[in-house]
Amino acid sequence: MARSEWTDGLEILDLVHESIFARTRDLRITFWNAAAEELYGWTRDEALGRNADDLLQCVHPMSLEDRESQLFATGRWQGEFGRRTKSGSEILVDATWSVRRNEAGEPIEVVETGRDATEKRRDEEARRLSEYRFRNLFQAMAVGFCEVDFNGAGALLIPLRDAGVTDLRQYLVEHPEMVRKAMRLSRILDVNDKMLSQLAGSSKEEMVGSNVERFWPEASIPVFIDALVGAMEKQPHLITETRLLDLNGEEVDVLFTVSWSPESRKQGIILLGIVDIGDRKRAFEALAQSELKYRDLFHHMPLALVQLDVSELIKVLGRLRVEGVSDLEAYMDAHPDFLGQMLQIMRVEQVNDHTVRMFGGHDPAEFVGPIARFWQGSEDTVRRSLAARYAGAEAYAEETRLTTLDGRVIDAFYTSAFPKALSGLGIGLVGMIDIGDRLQAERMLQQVQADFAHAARVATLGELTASIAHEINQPLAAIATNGEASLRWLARPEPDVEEVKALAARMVADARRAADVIAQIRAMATGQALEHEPILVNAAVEEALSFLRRELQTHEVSVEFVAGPRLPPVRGERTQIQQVLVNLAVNAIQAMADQPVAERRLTIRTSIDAGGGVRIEVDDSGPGIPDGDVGRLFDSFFTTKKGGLGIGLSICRSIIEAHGGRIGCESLPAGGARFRIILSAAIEGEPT
Amino acid sequence: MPPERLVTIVEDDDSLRAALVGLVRSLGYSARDFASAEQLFEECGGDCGDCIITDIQMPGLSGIEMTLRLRALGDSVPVIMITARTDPGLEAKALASGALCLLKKPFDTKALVACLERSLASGRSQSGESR
Repeated sequence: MARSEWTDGLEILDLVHESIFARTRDLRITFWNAAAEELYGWTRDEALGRNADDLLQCVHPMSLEDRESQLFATGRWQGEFGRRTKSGSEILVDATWSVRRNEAGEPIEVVETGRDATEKRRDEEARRLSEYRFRNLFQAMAVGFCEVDFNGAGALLIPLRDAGVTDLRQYLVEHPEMVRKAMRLSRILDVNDKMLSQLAGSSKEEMVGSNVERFWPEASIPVFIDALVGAMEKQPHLITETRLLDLNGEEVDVLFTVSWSPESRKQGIILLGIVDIGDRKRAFEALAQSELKYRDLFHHMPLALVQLDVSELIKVLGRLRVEGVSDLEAYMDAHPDFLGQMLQIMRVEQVNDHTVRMFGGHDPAEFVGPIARFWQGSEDTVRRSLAARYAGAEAYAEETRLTTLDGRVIDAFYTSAFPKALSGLGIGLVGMIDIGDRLQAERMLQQVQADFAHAARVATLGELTASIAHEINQPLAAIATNGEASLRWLARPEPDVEEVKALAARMVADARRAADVIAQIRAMATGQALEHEPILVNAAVEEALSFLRRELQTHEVSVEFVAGPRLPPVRGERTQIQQVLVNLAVNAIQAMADQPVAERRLTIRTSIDAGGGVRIEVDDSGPGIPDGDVGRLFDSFFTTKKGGLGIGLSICRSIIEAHGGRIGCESLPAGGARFRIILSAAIEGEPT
Repeated sequence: MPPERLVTIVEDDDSLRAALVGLVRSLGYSARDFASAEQLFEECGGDCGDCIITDIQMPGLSGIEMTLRLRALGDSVPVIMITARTDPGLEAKALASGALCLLKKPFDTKALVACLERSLASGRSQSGESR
């Protein structure tokens, strides 16, 4: 192995980063430095003496001769070799040759310095590609970009640090004129179309070459300071919202980004990006407004609103679906504990003020937690709601009873909404309306109806008959008995006239007694000393009709109420007027009993009478009133009904006349009967 | 002349009671009257006449209750009942308790007379027959 004379001072060559090796004309390696070891993997000992081309498996388009002739001619050759390392990797080596000559000037060795160009080539490729992409992206991006030459600003700031400024930010805050100077020294090198449009420019010339100062309003100086500081402190990037000025001087809300890649930092170029967030800001503001409105609504709606956390419920239901459960009701039947568990995992998250009040609480926080405690005894409602949800409905409602925080049970109309949009968020919404008042009013109405029905029954023929029968039958029986006795006395051969006289006297007394009974009943029916109040006739009719509803339904009578407008109030006792109406209606129903169902029509009409009072007409579609009876209908004891005593209508007349009104009847030409009541209007200011 | 028959009238209504007394007498019978069943038990001891005409509805003991008690005491005096009520089961109850007839007010007086004659004919005589 030939040793070369290159031994003195050669240690230096082991320190350089470039690989150096020398070879003879026939390619034998005579020198091999440390960098060559590193580059090619072969140690010095392995490489010395070896054929360079073989060892390194050189590949070059030019022949060795050509390369060498170039070298010998010019003293220098440079080229790229494809080579293979000891480990087999293919590398690209950027090689420079120089020649060593002997004293005769003949070349004896070639010295090569080489650098791994593989990475470089790859880097370059990558850079080229990246540059290409960047350019395209730069242009095409929906983000506005510009390249800014920052060198001027840098030159301004570096001396500061050298001068001992440690807190650059503070310094800049205190010296805004420095900031502005830095802005003026930052030059725009390039801008993409997007930024142009964001800043209301029409051509690049408007921006390229100018500095950035005009785009920075006073209020946004702190952000520029951040950018300067970031650059000096070598932060990789900055992202922040700020407000810039466009080319028209108008403010633009943006997301502002600065990036300093190591490459560009070296060149003093920074990349600025802006995203117009004006729309986003407006959207957020609208959302915030909407959020406020929702909050407002949620809390001030005059119904109880509850927001539930049903995320766990949805998971459970989702699992059931995966398991193939199609009928949740059946599943709940088979798993009796399921509902109870669901009542524990469904939780109240938020309630509004109305709920707090309705449920006897003081603070919405008292409601947070499982819903189970509100559903004691009414779990079935939740069961049905879950079944509806599972079946795909988006809402469920029903009247139910809920338990309040203070242990009361209230009647409520409960609605639950679970639109698919909210299910994903695990939110359920519940609205409730307290129907306790309504139900109580209904119950009271039912009670009043029962009371009134009872009173109406008493006033109508049936009940009255029973009591009348007893009261009147006594004197009647006495009269008949006395009469019979009188006849027997008179039939005797010698009539006992005295006896008969006595009997006759008793008969008169009995008759008088009977008359008294009738008067008494009349008085009872008309009601002495009852309070008189102004009556709204249409309301009274409607009430009477609602009480008769069942009766009308049972007898399949259709009813029409034609309510006249603007009727004056009538003074009197509302219940009595209603008794009359009920009586007339009952009579009408009975009269139409033999009519076919379609022909059973009851019509009640109210209107203003010619005399200024209120006129009520009750028409039926029955057989009407025979001519001979029209005048006698209201007489006591007159009746056309089998087994009837004929009391009802006479009492009606008493009532109406006691009210200062009139009652009459007629047969309708089209068939049926009409009963007509006229009541005088209450005079304003008349004491009740 | 048959021995005078005594008809007992039990009726809380004064004028009707008086009228019944008058009718009985016009038929030639003697009459005694009570305003209530309680009064009858108080005053007539074991012998209350050949026939009783009684109202059913009275304050206190009803006519039916009175008849049941009489029967329980072994008294088989014929009873005619009159009533103002028209309950369906009343007739059955009345007859079951031992009434001979039930008349509804205001009754046909001729029917009452016929009933009375019948009951007096079938009933025991004032004198003699022991119960």
